[in-house]
Amino acid sequence: MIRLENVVKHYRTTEAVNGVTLTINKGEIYGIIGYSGAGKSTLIRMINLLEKPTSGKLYVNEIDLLGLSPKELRLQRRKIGMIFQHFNLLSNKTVFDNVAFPLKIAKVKKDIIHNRVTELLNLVGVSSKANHYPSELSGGEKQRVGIARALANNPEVLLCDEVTSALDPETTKQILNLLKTINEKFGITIVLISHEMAVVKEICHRVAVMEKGKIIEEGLVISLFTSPQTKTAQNFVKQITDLNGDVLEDEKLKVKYPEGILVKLQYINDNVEKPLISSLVKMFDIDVNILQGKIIPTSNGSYGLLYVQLTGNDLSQAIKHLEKQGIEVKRID
Amino acid sequence: MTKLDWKFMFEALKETLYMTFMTTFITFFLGLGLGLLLYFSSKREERVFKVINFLTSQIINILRAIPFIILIILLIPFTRLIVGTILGPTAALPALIVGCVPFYARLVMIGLNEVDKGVIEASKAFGATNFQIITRVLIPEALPAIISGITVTCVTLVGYTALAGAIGAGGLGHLAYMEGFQRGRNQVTLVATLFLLVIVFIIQLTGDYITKKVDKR
Repeated sequence: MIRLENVVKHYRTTEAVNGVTLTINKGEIYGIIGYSGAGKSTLIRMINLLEKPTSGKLYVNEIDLLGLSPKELRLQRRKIGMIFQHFNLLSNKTVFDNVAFPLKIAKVKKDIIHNRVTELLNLVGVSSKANHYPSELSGGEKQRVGIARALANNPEVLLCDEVTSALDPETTKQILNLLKTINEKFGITIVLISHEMAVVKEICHRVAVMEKGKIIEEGLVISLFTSPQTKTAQNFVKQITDLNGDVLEDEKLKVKYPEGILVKLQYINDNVEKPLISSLVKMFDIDVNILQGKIIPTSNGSYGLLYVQLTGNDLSQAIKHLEKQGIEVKRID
Repeated sequence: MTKLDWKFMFEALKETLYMTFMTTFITFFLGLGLGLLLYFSSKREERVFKVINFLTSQIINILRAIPFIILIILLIPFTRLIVGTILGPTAALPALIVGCVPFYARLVMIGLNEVDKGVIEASKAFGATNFQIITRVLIPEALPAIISGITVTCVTLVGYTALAGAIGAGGLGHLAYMEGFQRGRNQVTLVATLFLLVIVFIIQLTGDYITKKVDKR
């Protein structure tokens, strides 16, 4: 659906994007995560050519956007919706007129506009606010209007630029759910950039980690949790896996629980649903003491992290049993 | 004390209103156009636009720096050329317009600059043409500033008409100066002042009302 080939964007003094190649499939929700200044904002803006690449190739729906005339580009842009961190609604137009805006620009007939806008406002759940102005809305409502506006022309792609960064956690969840619904219902390809792992793991199928204008890691969201390759990826994963509250470091754990052996268990998917610990106790002559842990659902399955203390006689067999089930076992010494 | 000649007073009032509203009307369009030119040329990287921006900007600065009374005198040949005379309310229009347009163009440009960049970016992302961005985004979003700007310009303009009146344009300023001051009839000066104040108040109140009405931020 979207293909970038060695895309570069240089500003006068800085290199914002430094040779990015990636492919985003039709109907997928693709996340790009990175700290501020990583170049992700520039990258997403190149997909609809709000920023023109210095070099490289760019295809959306097999169309070479860089080869289009200004007029053809404007037509293609109608097929690429976009929503923004600060919503970017027209402050002097009502909710209705804001959603109607892309249709008016496309010179759609008035009665069709009316029906389409009504339908969209229902879809995003702000139909009661149709005649209000943006200043009278909450952040979440503004973003819903932004989504309705972006969908007006039935786009095939939806670009999301830090769309939840200005929202509280509860509203963030609602907006992400709305995006998920839209993706499932209409099969729209969604590209989302964020600096929060919580957002990415909630809805993205695949994720790219960006740093210094480059993509340094890419894959399924769940694989980022189980085997992050780079330090940056590890840090992003830590945003989620960090056990809140009084968490003990590995070394301190060992001091506090000197008996038996301490292991860190990491597991995904099916294993989360299995009675892992109780079967372990039944099968072997051991005791299991759960020290700390967390289970994180992502859109490709769940990821579990447990710190346990094992005491008893069959320690090595128990560990082998765990490993055989595909659980990553790390001894803490 | 001689009686006030109300017929004269109202004649002068009519002339002042004529100068004020004709100039405001023309200034509104010229200033808006010039403001847009300034705004757009400042946003572009190409050399042509940089030159246009520099020239327009400097001309505006120079015209705004010249005191209005001197501007009238400097424009006498120009006025004579296009109006045919340098006396009367119509002859005052060129100087008034040249005096007001640069001022208003600046205010328009400030108003346009305050339009959220993100909103313009969003419009581009939805495939708007430059013309659509001007008519559907920039002007509607900057409308409160555009209206309050023309209000400020119009109020300043009332003062200018009085000044122009003193050197032959007619209107209340002329009356206050020639009748009131030169002949020592303070009554005339006072009534002319009162009229000017009422005009200014009405302009300001109307302008404020409309600005508030169109501002939904």
